Amino acid sequence: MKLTFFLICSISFYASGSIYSQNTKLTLDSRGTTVLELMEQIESKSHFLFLYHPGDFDLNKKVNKNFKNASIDKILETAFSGEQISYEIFDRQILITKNEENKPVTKVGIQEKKVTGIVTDEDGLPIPGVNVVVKGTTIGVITDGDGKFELTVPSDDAILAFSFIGFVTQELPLNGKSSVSVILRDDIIGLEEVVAVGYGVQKRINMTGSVAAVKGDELKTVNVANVSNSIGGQVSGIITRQTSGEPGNDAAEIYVRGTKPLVLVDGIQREWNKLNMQDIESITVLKDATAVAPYGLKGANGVILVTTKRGETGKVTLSYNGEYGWQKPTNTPEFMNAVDGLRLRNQALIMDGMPDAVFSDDILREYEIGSDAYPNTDWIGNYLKSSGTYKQNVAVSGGSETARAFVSLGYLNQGNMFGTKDKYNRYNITSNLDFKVTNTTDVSVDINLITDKDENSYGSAEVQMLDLYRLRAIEPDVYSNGLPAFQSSIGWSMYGKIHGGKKFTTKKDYQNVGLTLNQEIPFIKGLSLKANVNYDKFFLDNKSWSEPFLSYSYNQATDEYEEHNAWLSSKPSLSQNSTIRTFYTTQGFVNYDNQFGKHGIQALAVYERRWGGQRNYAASRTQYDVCIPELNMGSADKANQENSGSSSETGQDGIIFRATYNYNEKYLLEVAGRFDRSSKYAPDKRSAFFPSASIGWRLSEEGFIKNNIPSINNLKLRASHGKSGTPVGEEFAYLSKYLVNNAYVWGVDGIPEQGVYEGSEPNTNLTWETVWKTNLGFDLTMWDGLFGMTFDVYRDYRSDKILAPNAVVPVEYGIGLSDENAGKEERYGFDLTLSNYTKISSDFSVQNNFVFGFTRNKQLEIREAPGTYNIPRFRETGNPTNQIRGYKTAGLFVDQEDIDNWAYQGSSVLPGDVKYVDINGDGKINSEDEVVIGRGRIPEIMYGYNLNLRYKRLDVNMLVQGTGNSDFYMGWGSQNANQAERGVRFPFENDKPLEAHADSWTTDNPDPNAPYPRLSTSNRTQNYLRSDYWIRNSSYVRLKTVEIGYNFNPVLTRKIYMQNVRAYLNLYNVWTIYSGMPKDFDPENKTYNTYPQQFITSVGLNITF
Amino acid sequence: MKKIHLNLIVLIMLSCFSCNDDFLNVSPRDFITDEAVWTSGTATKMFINDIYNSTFHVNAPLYSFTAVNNQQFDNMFTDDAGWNFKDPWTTFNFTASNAPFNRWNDCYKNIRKVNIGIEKLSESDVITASEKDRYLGDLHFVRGMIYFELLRFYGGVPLINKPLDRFEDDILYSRNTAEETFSFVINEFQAAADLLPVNVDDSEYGRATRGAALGMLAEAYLHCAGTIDSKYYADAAATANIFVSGELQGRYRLFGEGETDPMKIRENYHNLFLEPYEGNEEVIFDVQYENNKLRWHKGYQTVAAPGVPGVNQGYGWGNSGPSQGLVDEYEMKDGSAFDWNNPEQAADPYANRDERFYANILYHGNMWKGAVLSLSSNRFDNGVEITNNLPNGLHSTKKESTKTGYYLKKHQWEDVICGWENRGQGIGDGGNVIVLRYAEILLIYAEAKNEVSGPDVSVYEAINKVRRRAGQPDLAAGLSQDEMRQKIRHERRVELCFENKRFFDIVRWDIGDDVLNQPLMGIDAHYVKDASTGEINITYTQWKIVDKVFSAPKNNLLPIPQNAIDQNPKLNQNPGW
Repeated sequence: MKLTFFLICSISFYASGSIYSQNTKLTLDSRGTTVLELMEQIESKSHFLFLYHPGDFDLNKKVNKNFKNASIDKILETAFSGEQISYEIFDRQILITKNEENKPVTKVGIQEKKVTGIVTDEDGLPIPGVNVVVKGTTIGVITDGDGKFELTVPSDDAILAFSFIGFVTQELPLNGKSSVSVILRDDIIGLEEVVAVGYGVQKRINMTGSVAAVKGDELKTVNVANVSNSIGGQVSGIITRQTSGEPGNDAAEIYVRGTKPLVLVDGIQREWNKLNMQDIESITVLKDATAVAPYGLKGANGVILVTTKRGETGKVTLSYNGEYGWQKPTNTPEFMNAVDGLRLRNQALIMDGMPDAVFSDDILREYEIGSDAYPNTDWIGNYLKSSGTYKQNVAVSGGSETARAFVSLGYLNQGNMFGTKDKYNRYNITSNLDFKVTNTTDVSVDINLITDKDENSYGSAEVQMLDLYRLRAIEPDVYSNGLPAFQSSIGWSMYGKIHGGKKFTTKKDYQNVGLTLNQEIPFIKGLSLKANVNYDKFFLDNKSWSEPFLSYSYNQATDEYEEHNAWLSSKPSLSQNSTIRTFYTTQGFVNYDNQFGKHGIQALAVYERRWGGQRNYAASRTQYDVCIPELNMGSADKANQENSGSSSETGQDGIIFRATYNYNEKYLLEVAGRFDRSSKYAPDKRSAFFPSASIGWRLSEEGFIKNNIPSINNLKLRASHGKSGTPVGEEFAYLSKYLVNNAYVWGVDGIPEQGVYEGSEPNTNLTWETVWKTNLGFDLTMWDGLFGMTFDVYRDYRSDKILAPNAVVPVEYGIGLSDENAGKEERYGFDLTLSNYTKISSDFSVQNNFVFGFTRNKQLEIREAPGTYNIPRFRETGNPTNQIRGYKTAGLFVDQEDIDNWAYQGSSVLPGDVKYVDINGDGKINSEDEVVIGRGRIPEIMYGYNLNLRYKRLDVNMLVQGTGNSDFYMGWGSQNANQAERGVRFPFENDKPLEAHADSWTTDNPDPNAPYPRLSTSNRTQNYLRSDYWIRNSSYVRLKTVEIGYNFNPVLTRKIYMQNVRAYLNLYNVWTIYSGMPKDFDPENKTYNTYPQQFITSVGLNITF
Repeated sequence: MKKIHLNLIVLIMLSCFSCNDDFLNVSPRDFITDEAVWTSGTATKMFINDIYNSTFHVNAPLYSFTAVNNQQFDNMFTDDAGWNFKDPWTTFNFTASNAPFNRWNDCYKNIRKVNIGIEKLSESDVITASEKDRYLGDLHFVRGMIYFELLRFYGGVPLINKPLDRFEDDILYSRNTAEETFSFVINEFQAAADLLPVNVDDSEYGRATRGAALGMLAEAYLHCAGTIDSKYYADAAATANIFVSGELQGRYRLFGEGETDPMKIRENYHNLFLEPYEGNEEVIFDVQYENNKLRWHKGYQTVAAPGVPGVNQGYGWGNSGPSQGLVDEYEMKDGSAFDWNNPEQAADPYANRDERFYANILYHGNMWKGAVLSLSSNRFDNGVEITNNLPNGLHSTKKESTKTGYYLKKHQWEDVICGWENRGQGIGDGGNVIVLRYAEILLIYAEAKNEVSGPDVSVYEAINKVRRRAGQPDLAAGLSQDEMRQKIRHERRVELCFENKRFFDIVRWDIGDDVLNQPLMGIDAHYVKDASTGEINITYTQWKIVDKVFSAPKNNLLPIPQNAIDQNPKLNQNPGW
């Protein structure tokens, strides 16, 4: 009990309130004890510690008193009566000092006074969890479930500050009152909003970077299994494209200002697509240099921060969400049935010069009736069926001041349109726990588990769709006697593959555990230390099992069904592979946040380290005699067994810093950056520094605006500039790589031996791409939120893009050269957000939100070959990437005269063929006439409109989403003989004309602008060259989602112990308002044969207990 | 307890900062560095293994059954049966941009490997001196093989004999002359012969030997005697003579030599190339392929095997049909030439022929895999003529059917199942491919010696040795030098067919304008029903499949691939291309 000890202790616990001393009651029998003994008694029976200077008072004075449930004040006053001392209580420490003025025992410090109160919102509903603090002290409490609080204040004239997320902070001078009632106003204009930024949070008002954020509750109405699909059209500057509707594989491609961003969940790079939507608190998109600077060499493409929910102080709530949905494909190709298809073929044959129709009316009638010999199969109808999807979620949230929790369990089941054997299941468990160990120490333990299982019969939905689009209507599916038919167009039986035979199972497990320790440093106000350890593990298990499956062909001549099993070997086989990936992240934070009068200072330094790696194993066996899909059950012959494996490791570390300064929340300044190192590159190319700086000016705080235009609540101008990076190139490209392979077979017995060979030329200069980012923007809020606007323009200058080496190295050099950092690119664009919040009455509010983003890139240095560079209309340098080059067309040839008067296109041109424009005017059409005919597939524009309407207990949410400036070439993939895709253009590619092919140019329908050229059974390649005839604008506007919800009257629901019950109807992919694509092609689909997007109608129930 | 918090956090943070940077210095897991290779004896050997593998590879036309072999020029016709291309060699209708068998890239990749190997081995101290000699011998042999391949296909090529470093060396090489390239090849084979052992252990079978190096040296001399300067015939004869009556006499012998039973002779000659007889006494150098694997292997055993031979038996792609010209080249058993004008022979053209004909070629009516091969253009069933859907016939719609009326038998092991199930599986495994065998050495000797000094006894002895093993009578005495030359050319064609020799023989003898400008013929085996007797007889008629087009000297060499010329302005194209 020396004074030094006191110092340490008081430092640690200075900030504590007087709660302990107020609440602790002691029962002591001190008859016959001395003061010293009494103090020892108290220390042993409680957590109090006495601190004093011996000699200040008489330690051996007898006390002679029996205390029963006495407060410490009472005991001390009694024990020291007659002594001239003062005492002071710091939470659990009692400091006793000599009282110089000969006063009796005095408690030093504050005159305490009890205050009670209630906090409500504008509608009079109590708000639990509001932070109530005595201004200028650390004394504070949090309101309970009924919005009530009780607090001991040091003086009558104390000022109480009430703050809660989503409400404007309010200060209330007590002026002697002991009971207060406070109404908090909605923070419509987000003055108090705190937004997650790199390695921390910032008050929106003080931010100088370009950051967009959206709350989890707003995302949730976009009813998706995959988080990436929820943000398109909700955040400006983001472009999303859901390229497939396949269960479990329907993640959207995401672009932040045109590039693929880094995504972090609670500060850690890990799986995010499969998070439970219900667990998401917010998603923040960091777009400019200042915002991404803390991510150094990984930040240049933008960063998305996903924050999960945490428990809040207050009443513990249990909530349940259940939902069932019906899914059906949005757009599927409309193929002709057998009869129409054969008729079209007849027509084509006659146009090709055949004297008569090949398929007689009798045969067509047979197909119309349909039989095993003359099938008329509706493949789309048979296989692209509607399916079900359902979700269940239970969450517990709440806690006390010392422990808070958010725990949730989610389950998702998505059916597959191909049938019931194919399905996708996912389980999510999230447990975010926060403990307040002392007043200055917080510990968080986060556990997130995701496990999913995808079962399907094809292994690849794209191959499956391709098959489906190749199957002809005149092929049988299942015969009338129930036997599955063999289909020669795909070489096996579609039914067989789906209902028997093959089975692919993919299981994925994501496990993430994080531990965070946060410690405020009491002796320096505003300083805190934080340490974070995160462990992220991923397991993948793939299993593919195939059994022979018999299918049949009907032989009309013999009236027999002949067996086929050509597509599988005669015995079952199994192949299995697994991946285990482990990553560790440790972070150490030093955080400083203080206000000196009008000077606000925030500073952050973080050291972060991330390392880990992965291992893969694969094994297979064939020739199973017993149908048990386990590796050890397969053939004993070594020749039927295979195994392989691989592994890799990587590491990165960095020192992150950020310092912000604001003067009176008017002039803002921020510098941020990162020293980064990565194991990817050569030791001397490993480190780099990525700095950034930004300024902000809140014009609205200036007198000339404040006084003259009071309708402006907030107007802030922002500017930022800085450097960031993108890691490119192969790992270890700096080393000379010698790879091992299975080499030569030596010896009479032919034993294979391994070999090593030089894999690539080392490139010790390889490093990351550097991006200099510049951003200018402003935020404006007027009329208390009636109108809000955020606008940013930006330019990214990217250098060191990885390119094929410039050096012309002869083939005789003997080895390929590694790529180099040499390319340059510029990207520019703007982001716009408009918002409106209108509270018409307490029952009726409307919220409108419009976001718009435009981005375009320009290739500045790509080492273009002279062949295209020297011809300005071919030149790629100076133009955006992925432009489509081909011929311009001028409709179809009307007649022979038209052909004769046109540039020469070849000898076999006929009326109805595509007419190409002779760009260079040399009288013939060849590759020199090509021009740019289309833009890339990734849109340059994405916009969204979000409506949120509340009327009494009814709420309506609606999202309209649209894209612009992108094109689709209908022949994409045809170079790879992707027959289905080519079928989009040529009706008889697989003998599978689309309904749309009925509008082909024919002698009966000589329309020079027909959507399809001259009908012919032969693939008249001259019509199918890459030309604008086959380019479609892939822009679209679609009503993405509509949700209508109804909250039942709480008075009624409370009778059945439910606080809140909400029922809703949700529609997803509701209506494509506009699409430049053919009507049977979903505009978001990547290729013709991707698993279609799904239109989902769901009903659901939210219950809070 | 409470005191700990602060300490703990400081501890954690300190641990973050204070650790060393080991986690950044992660080492690659899936490759090794060059330093690790050359400081390990095992890895050094593995480096040699890889060079063998990448040089003698299934995609290299000279060392596999595919490619040049399928095309065999006047010996075979290959259309798109099983393959999706029309044989470009038929009319030499290609350009420098799409020339077949573009081995330029692969060859120079392998040259770089050898050059690295030779440089690093010379400095290596982790292997014994004898190992070093042996590996260097391997490398010189391989480099000789690569440059010899380049020389034969392209003529003179850039000679690069050290690993290039683009930051230090001038890497733009122009073409050396054919003579320079040739003398480089000669030096390589000579160096290899000096370093390599005469015999290898069974466990190392497949590695080059002194015999392999000297044999290739003889072949190189012979090739250049024809294409560069006839003075090299003397060197060819002298080098071949090392095997016949010199240092290596008796080291190699003809397989099945001395057999007299015609059926045994036929069987031996067929077996010589099959897996169970790999490494027999006749083989001087062969390319190793893994046995006992499913047989896709781009080899004859699937590619060339008859399509749909019988019931329940695997069948091949049937894409290699021996030509009528080759069939006609086979002598009668008595040593006389076959003659279509001889009515007896024309009526029954497959009777009494050279045993090698039966060993090499499948024709209508042969048994194969337990079934009769029906290659006729029609057949009669219960007296009714059927012309449609013959399983293998000329008019079969099956793409696996023959176009010439013949299938290849050489290299084909009847036991191999090469059916549908195995078609899509695996890669190049199967029987070894013989690159050089003793019979060729005898023929090289005979040819070279005949050119140097006319048909002396040793010439007769050498060629007759080959004929005797095949069951053919000795050549008549007293042939002129030119008559002997023609006999030797005949003998090479029938003995070495489908062994990747024919094209170079045609070039060497400069007979392309003649033999490759003739139409390629096939046979139409057709059943005819005698109207009066009702008897059904088979007739054989030759028919033209395709006109071949060849133009010497342009077609004697391939064009330098356009991509190589584009990347090296110093490379000149071959004349005519």
